[in-house]
Amino acid sequence: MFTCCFPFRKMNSKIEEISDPCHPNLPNMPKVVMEEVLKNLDCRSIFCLRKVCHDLFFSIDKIKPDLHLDSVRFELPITTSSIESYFENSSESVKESFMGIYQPRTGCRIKSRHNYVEIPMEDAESLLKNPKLILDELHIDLRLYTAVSDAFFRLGKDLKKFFETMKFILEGPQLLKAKSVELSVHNLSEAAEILKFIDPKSLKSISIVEEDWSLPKKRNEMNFGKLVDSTEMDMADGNSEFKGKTSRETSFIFS
Amino acid sequence: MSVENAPVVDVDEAAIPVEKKMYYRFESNDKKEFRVSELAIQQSETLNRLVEAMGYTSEDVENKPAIAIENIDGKTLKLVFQWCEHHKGEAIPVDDGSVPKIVEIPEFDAKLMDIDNGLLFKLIWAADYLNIVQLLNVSCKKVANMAQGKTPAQLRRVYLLPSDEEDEAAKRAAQEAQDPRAREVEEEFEERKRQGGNSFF
Repeated sequence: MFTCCFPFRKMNSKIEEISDPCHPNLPNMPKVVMEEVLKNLDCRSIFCLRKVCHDLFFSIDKIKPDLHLDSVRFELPITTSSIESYFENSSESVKESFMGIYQPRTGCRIKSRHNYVEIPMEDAESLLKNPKLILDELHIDLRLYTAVSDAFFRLGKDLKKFFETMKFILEGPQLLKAKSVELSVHNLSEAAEILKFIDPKSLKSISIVEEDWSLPKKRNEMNFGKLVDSTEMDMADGNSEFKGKTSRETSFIFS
Repeated sequence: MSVENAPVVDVDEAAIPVEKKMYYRFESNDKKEFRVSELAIQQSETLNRLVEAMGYTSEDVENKPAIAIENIDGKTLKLVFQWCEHHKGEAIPVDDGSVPKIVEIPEFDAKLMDIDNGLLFKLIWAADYLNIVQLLNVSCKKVANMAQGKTPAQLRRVYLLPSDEEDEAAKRAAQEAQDPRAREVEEEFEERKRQGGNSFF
């Protein structure tokens, strides 16, 4: 008797090993099936699917699907309750004007096919560790605008924590590939620290805005040459752009 | 052509006339036999290679036992062969790597896949196992459509999946049901720990 009893597909992952036709549901499907399903989903749905159960979480993280992202934007996460705590001694009008500038946000916003999705920082971590990821744009905004010194002190502590988290997220086995990087920072040393994690070969343009409204305005002594040296920039091609902007709206372009 | 009229011959169920051309006989793991045309078989890379390697003649098909497909049941295999018969002669699509993948589900396929989740995942598993590219594409698209725009809680309901907590509780309950003594031993151990004993034995 002829028997069509083919061996299972190559056992190259945990997902493959657990593929089981006797218990047909999504977490038990072979890796190739999960990959096909993920190819048909937008990034918001993939992040939701990842939260359904541990098995799907690990399957999706292992597959590292192409999320087809246009841009990733990191901003200091601000919640309504954090705003309350920053301005506990301030008037309602101060709180309101701050709210006008900073809407509550989670810290990371991704743009995929013209749709913006906010994701928690822990999701951003796994997203940026995807070696297939090549971002069109990476924006990092670390600026704070407040003249209330108490609030600035509290915000500053959160900002320091956020900046450390950012560095932890960006630090991976490979350098992050991004075609365009836009940094809004308080000083150039922050920018230099971030640029260390970006693959210079992927870069086509960098834009740095250095502004700090919490401090008295002063002329910024910007030394872009030093910044470029410190990050050992080797841009992708001869047409690459490097723009620097101070609070006095001075801009520099390097070709 | 409607799903019901797709010309797969389930030998056990009906005496539907088979067109006079080359066909093959397959048997599911629950011993249901199917006759499938040579052209329809070409949709499955795996089965196509198998029948080519076997080099069957029309006489062989009649005289030799049906080819057994041990990992797929009759209900699933019937859907697979209905799909193959309906799409026989169509070109096998090549993945161009575009994301998101552009896949349209034809009306026939949508009707064929209007089934419960368990059977749908069996169909997907079979499509992968038998390497039927387009059936895998449309069935995965259907699963993805079910997920689009849903929250994790809604997805658990759609795919009938327990949360991690429910899953753990169910595993614990199953373990206890299998070995009631395990629970007693665990409780005894906890009690001894509370009393300050260092060793259980």
